[in-house]
Amino acid sequence: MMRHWRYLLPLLVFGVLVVFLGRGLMLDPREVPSPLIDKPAPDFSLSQLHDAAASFSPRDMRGKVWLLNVWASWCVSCRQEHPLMVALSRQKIVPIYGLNYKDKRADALNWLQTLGNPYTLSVFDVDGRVGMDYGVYGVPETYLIDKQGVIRYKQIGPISSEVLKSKILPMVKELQG
Amino acid sequence: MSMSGSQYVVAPLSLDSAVERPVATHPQGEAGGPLNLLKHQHLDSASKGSTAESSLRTPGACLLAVLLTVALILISLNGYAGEAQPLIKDPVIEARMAALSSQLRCLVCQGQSIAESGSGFANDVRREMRREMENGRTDAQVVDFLVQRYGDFILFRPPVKGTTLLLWFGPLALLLLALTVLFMTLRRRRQKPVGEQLSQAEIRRAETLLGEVHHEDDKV
Repeated sequence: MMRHWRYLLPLLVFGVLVVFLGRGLMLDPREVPSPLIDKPAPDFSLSQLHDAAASFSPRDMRGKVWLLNVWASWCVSCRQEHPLMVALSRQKIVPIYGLNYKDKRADALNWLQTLGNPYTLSVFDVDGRVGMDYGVYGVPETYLIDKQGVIRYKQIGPISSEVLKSKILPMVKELQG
Repeated sequence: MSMSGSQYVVAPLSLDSAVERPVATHPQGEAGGPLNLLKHQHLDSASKGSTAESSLRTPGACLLAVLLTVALILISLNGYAGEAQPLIKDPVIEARMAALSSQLRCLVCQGQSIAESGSGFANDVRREMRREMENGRTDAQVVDFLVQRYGDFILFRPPVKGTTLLLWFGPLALLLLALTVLFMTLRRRRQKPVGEQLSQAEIRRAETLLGEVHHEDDKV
């Protein structure tokens, strides 16, 4: 009996290997887990996109659950994500703030005027310095920040309606509760 | 020696203004592009007898000449700055940058290091690294700065810690396991007596088996 079992051993090892490699294939290597999850959102003070004289800081958002959406007018995936953001903003479930990333002010304003503005307000991060503090390495990225100012979730790449329904909105509801 | 990079911006701007300003401020109120102005100037000088002096007589043409001269000087300065601008401001920081950035992964083009990549992301990271170094941060502090933002993934060489123990020592453990199995198998094989005598019963069994084979061969 023991002898027969021995011949199955390579198959077993192969099986384990297949599981690991298969898992590796399913992972998206572009999705680098953020070290900022469950850490306080980095503080900043940036001028607003529509009003260069006014500034905004995440501290202003204490006590509220909110989304910080990193976008740019040059970003193709943002255009893809945009209708969903507009629809979400109409539902008034959670405020969306924009971080306009390495963009030109005129281009960004034009983009919002043409496609609609889902943002309560956008801040203007012209050199991407604040983006770097948030670990942004591609656009769009979206952060869900809770009442204590802690980042609870980070979406890399455009938000899909599935991710919104299955992950983000339930989390928002729980955090608002 | 070190020219500021802003001259790249200044020169083309002043070139624009040199071409366009005389048109706008031309006393005769001639609208249109620089071509119009030149035509006008030509007609002017032709009617008054064309000498070099007469072509500079109108204030607009004088202004144009001055501004063009200034623009040309600025262009040549710009070229000079481009050639002579040292690529390395501080050789020590540049050497540290070269060593450190080749150990960091570009998150956008993941096969490349921060040193190799020309992506916007890598440019930004290099800029911030340089800034941190100029502020007197050590290499370890610069790496910490990046790991805080992008995680261990930005390091080509992952740190040894709880979650990476298997990664670091797994292959070694597998090797040790394989070697142990190999030695045990070899020892067992050596312990087995070679050329063992068969018992009578075994010989008889072997013969019957062989006989069966022969028997079946005959059948065919």
